[in-house]
Amino acid sequence: MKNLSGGCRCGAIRYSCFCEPLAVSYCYCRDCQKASGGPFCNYAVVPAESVKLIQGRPKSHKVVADRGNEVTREFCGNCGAPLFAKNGVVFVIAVGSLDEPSLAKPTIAIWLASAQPWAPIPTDVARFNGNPPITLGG
Amino acid sequence: MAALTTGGCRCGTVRYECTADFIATTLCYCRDCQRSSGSAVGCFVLIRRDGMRRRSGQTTCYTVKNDSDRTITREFCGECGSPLFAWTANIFAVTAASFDNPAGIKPSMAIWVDSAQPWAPIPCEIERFAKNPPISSG
Repeated sequence: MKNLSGGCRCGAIRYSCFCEPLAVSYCYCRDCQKASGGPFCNYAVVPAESVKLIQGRPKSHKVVADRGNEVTREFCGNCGAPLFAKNGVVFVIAVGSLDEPSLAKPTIAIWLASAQPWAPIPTDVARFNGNPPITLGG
Repeated sequence: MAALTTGGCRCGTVRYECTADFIATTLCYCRDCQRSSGSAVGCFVLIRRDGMRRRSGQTTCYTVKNDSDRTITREFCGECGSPLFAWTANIFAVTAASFDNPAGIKPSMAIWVDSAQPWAPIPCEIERFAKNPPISSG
């Protein structure tokens, strides 16, 4: 699989990831809804050390997520594009920030218990009402 | 009579009140919405521009040419990155998940499905448009 690359909308921030995602998810938790403005976030789980910032520096914001743990989200302070999120256990790349999101097909959907009634929900993924058995949502 | 509908960003810095009726609610799969949400899709409620009352906090604005080559301005919270508004010369839209109580929102159309990621879920029961719908939606 080719390396993943991506960045924000304005071009200020560029990154490269030298690792195939461990998993790719839909997250329907309320915090992810707010972070995306829409029904869910899409995340590619990767080792934090596999992501290299090539250009620019994201802005960080820390919040307490649905489960009570701290989540730090990183976005471009100039154009607002979501880039990364981390909770001390996992590091994820916002799939919409990838140059080729088609390479990151999600295989699981988590926090469906928090999904909005109007949220599109895929039928071809493993579904979890909260976090999956492995630590993805923290 | 339009109900007062409140909302804001994740960190509470930006708060708004929406007094206008909802004109339409769309799921947008364009590449610009993918980048702005970090996910496969954005969800927006279209309202009359004068129906939005900003109650607290200032947003950060970023203007760009979108997938239909029109100028679009997106507003987000500069502290937490939450996407809030998107507008062109013709339309004003609020991100669905930024409302305090978004459960009652019901998307009536899916637009820019031609740009959707191959794995993106698109509801079957709503009307789909390859790009913009016939009305001027930016």
